Amino acid sequence: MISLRHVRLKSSNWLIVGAIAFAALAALSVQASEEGAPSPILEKLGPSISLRGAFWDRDKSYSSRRGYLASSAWLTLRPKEVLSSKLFFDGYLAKNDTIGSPKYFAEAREAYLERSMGSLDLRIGRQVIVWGRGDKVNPTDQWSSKNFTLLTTDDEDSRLGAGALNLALNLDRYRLIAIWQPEWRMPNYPIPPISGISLSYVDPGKAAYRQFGLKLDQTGGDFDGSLSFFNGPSRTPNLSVLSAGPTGVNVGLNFETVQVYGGDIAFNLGSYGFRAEAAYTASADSAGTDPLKFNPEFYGVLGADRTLFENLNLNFQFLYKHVFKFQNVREIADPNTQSMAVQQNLISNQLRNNQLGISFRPSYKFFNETLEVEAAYVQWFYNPGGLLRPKATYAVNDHLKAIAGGEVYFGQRDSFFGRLQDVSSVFTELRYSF
Amino acid sequence: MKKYLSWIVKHRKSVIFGTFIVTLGLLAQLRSLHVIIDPDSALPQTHPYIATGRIIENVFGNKFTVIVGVSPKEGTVYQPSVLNKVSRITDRILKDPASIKSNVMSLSARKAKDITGNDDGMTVRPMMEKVPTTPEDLLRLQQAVEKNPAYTNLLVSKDLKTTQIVAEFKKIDGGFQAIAAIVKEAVKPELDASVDIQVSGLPIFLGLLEKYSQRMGFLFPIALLIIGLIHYEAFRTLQALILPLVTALLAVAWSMGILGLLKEPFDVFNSSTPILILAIAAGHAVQILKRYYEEYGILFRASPNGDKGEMSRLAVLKSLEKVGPVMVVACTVASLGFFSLMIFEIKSIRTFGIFTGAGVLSALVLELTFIPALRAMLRPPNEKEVHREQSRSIWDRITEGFYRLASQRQKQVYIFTGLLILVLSLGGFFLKVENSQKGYFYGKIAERLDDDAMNSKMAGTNPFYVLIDGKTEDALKRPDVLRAMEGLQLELEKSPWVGKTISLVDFLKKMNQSLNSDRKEFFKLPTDQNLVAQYLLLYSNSGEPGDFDSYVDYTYQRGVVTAFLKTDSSTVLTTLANQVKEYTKDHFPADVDVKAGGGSLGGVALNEIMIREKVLNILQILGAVFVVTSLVFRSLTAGMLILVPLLAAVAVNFGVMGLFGIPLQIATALVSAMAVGIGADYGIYMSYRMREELRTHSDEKEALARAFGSAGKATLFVSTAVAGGFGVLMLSWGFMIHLWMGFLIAVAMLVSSVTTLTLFPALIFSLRPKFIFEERKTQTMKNLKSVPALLILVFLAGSAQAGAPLTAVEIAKKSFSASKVADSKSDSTFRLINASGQERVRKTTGSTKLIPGTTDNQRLVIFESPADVKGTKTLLIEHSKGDDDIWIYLPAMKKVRRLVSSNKKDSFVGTDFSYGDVIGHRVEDWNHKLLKEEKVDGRDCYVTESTPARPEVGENSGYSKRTGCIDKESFIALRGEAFDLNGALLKKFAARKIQKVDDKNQKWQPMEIESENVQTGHRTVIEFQNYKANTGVSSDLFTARTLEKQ
Repeated sequence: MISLRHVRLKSSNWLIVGAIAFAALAALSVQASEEGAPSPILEKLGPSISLRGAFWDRDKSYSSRRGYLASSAWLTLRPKEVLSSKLFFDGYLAKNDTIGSPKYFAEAREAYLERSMGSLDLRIGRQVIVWGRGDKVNPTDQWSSKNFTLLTTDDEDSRLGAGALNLALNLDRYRLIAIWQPEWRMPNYPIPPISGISLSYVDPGKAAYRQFGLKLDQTGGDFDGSLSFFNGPSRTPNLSVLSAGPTGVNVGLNFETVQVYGGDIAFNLGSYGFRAEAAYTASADSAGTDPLKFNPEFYGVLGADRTLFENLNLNFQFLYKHVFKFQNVREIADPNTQSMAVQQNLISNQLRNNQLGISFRPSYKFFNETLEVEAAYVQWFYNPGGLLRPKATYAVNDHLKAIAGGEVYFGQRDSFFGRLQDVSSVFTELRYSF
Repeated sequence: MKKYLSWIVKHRKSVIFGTFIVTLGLLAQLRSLHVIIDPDSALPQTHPYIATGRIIENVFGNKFTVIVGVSPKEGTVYQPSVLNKVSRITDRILKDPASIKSNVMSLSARKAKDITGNDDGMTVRPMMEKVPTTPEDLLRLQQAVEKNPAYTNLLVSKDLKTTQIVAEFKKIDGGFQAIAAIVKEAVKPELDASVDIQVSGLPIFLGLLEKYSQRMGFLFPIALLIIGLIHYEAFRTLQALILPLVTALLAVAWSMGILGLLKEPFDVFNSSTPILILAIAAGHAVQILKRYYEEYGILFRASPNGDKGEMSRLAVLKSLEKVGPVMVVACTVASLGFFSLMIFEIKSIRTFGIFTGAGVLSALVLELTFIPALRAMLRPPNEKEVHREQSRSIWDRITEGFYRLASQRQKQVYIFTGLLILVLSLGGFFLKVENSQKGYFYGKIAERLDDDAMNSKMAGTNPFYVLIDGKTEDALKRPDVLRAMEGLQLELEKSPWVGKTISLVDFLKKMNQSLNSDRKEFFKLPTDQNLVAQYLLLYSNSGEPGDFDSYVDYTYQRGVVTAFLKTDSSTVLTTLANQVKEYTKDHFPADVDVKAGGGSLGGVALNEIMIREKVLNILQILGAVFVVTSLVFRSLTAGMLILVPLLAAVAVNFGVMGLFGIPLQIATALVSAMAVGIGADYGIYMSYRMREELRTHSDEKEALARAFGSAGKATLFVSTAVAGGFGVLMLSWGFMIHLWMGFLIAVAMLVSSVTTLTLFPALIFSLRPKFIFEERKTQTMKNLKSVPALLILVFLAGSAQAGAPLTAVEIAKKSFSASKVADSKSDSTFRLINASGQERVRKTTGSTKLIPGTTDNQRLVIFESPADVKGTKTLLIEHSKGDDDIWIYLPAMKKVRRLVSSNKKDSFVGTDFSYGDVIGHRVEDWNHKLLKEEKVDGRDCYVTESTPARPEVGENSGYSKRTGCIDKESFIALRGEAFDLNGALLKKFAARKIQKVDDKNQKWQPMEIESENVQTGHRTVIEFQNYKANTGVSSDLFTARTLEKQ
């Protein structure tokens, strides 16, 4: 039942274990709640279902074809508490091309058990962990891989949960969080096809078992903030030549271990909400000598938001990235190495020593939140390129939403976003939730 | 909206500066605008005619054929002077790099060969190595041409009075006008009184299409002037002349910039689209302008000696406040309709969709930013202008007439308009789907006359190609294939439109005849493949390698049969293409592929696809209009009614085309798409205005008459201006596309505006749909109920001390803490009800706890339903001495987010309660006044009034004044009102089902509270269930930890 077409067998094992445990506890929870007021079993599982049908002008495969009918069914279960524990399940069955292709995604994004023991909170199972107080741009966000090829109108839905043990010690407004995430979920990127080059995602192997992190967080008082550390395979790949032959070159996407030291802060001053987030990433190429590995970097976000006219929220951020030991790969003599190094820089968005960018996200809610209009805009200067993601969501009633928007990548072809121009698309979606 | 507009007016200089910067930025994008001039580059290359055309082009080099005819005024073509002219023209064409050398054919071209038999076999010589000068040589040339039937009517006409040069050209920079110029330059030195020289062929007409499309350069300013003049006539003020045009021009500039920004190409089929954008943008501007003058007139009459500048700014605000939302809807509908065309494969249609959609949105943005800012800076209208605008004019009399018709004579309206639409639509039965690129131009222009002359004298100026693909080498030497080709040629020549066919077959027949002593009976195909091969070998001994390049490929696998047609009519071409298909089935061997394509069929393909997609796109725009208007009005009836004027316009348009013999082709199909895009606005503006007037006027008749006088009149202005603007196209003499468009758009505007003012309102009056009239019912009922009372989730209570009179501040303090229990738990149902009575329901569970030793509350609200917000949590922590803290947890984001809390006026999770209403307005921030005491619902109450103690309190709360009827027993405000910063009534509050929840501390709680925004008609009712006070709620609940837990 629970399987995942685009992940490895190891993940399936996790899923089976998780599914059995979940099913057992869900059954217990149903039984427990039956002792109370009688109600249908389904209701006791606390289900929320969302059926979505969408039209996308383009998918993420760089195909010349236009027009995709994407459909998906999302299920969330929040069963009643049992044995002082809570269960949670969230998954979906999705097809990017409902009519034209048999390929589908069946994904159990989250299936975990949560329990509090005094000041200690435990969450075990597959879960989506998100770090960072920046708005949409989060340098400390390292835990969850994303399936960027899934056609979804909410970018957060592309996150893939992973099996993890998450412990939080709560001391008043402070929380000390420790996470061990031994499951690796392979990310999926829309990479432009290059003639004669095929790509292979390379499993990080045992390095996946060494994914762990710590975070000291405080929420409340005059400011919210945290300091964090992450160790594990990066979600940004390094490139390597796996094989070369007359038919072309097979390039591997390797996810090598990084250490990320980060922090964030959010506070309000008058009518403005300020937020900042920064991270230093120690990469596998600490000397910066290997052009096919991304370099250590400092990535910072600083911004503010303000609400005007009651419903217009403007969120503006500066983005800054410093790449340590940056070398201009255009100076590499060997054309093949140079070509791959350029791609490496593009994928890891390490195009200069110092990079500046902005993000801007205005959102407006009309008619008592019946219509919500939002446009997320990110732009990097120098090798200019950016992303504009406008979206309008109209609640026809409590169950039905109509969504329309687009994902427009623009800029130079040799920029982080500009290379994705050919997957720019407009979309519309009807979403029925109950 | 009001606050936003106030901001715009307040910062008008910055807004104008910002517009200037954006305009500059977008204008800078024009350098990226790529203009496509080759029509078939816009086509999907998968169309069979185009795909075949590409093969023919690649293999045989046939692409753009130009034909030059030379006819001496005296005698036959066999005169040295004529032949010299032919020779020189041929040489000049051959010298030009754009010509395809191997495909140039004329008496002097090396490709024209005389094939004769001799003792050794066969001699192949150029037909005319040098121009003959003696009568003997001239006669020899004439005999040579006559002996080679392949050239009859192709090189020399049957009456010997015309000869032609057939040249083929490649695509070049500079487009088709450049090709036409090359040919004209080659011909020019030979023009004299002794000969008539005609030039024709597809490139000449495509060049003409480019040239005439460039007329937009002067037609556009004239259109601007006419639209401006019509607006001036309507309003009689300079502002009316200029401002809509400023919006329109900026919208055109912006949309062109956006097109450049998106790297979408621009093409000749979109050359008239700027006028469409101009018309739509000006139309919206007029709706607002009309309202501005109305509002200014009202203010002016109320206070003739008031500050005119202030009145003007107020009128700007009021007009936009009323019309702005409608414009947002109308523009959204229109732009969604246009943007929906982006899914089409044809670049031209995509460009049309993006260009027009961006133009409409640009107009919207400009009308909501730049124009109010600019108008607030301009001199207000003087008394004379106000009077002139308000005075009754012909426009008023027409709209009044329409109102009387629609309201009093509905049956007549149905019968008359129904019959008229029906009769006119019946013309649709005569509608021809027909495309002729030459038919785009008036028949008497020089190029058409030349073309007609060439078609009557020679084989025809329109090539039609049939590709024969034998799949294997030497297939074209097979007798069965050759026989089938010969049969195909004979079949094609049966058509009166085919003047000549030519293929390898003609040359093989001639070779066979030549090798058989030129005997006539041997003018037939050899029956043996080896013989064919030998003939070709013999030919190659004296012929040239490229002689057959335009008939067969190097390996004899593929060949082409060329027919010369006397017309480029799509009907004739399609019939021939079908004939080829039919003939092929029965006569060609199964292993041979036969396909028509390229040449004039390229135009047919373009037409076929464009018409099909345009018709689809009309349906799509209609669908989008229906869906969006249904959603916006929340009524399927509204969606259907808005479609009535559009469907009428489309039906009449097709009917009129049939009646006037205007063919349905690319340009005319575009007109209907444009008409639908423009016409939707009228119904939307009318519907909104009717609804608005019905809301504010008790007399239904007067309300509807006012709607006609305002939105109806503006509809007339707009449709007249659009018709006038497009009417300019009729000045484009000789260019039928412009003439048809000018005429048809005028018809479409007439039909859609008249239908909007007759049939559409008649249907509304008859059907009395809820989306117009229910509003009124709801409003009346609400007024009757009159449930006011300042209520906040939190407040009030405490018992009055008997006997001791309380001050206003004491009452406010008691009211503030009336329901502040130590802690509480409850379930709540939020009902959000819009002006049309439609309801959304949210269920929540909530907990509160006072921070020990203070009156500051902590509140946690968890959403349980609907499904899409389930799991959303908000945590509020009040701080009497500073800003409150607010966090929100959205399950989709998986993280807690701190919100800015100083804006107490922000809506609380989409309800009509603000955060300030929920948290409670601090007593010390307001000045309180006890107005009176009275009974409300049988209970004794204090009636109080509170005004902000400091300006920022007003700014933060969004209220300039609050009033309340506070129950003397519970100190709960049973009713209340809040006024916005302009002093207008904004909200009404009510509290019901008051229960004592803490006997010991005398705390009370209303179990139902309501807030109604009277400016939008939206209201929120919150009911509390399972309310329990003082149960010992843990402080741990009010932390980020709880927010992140399931």
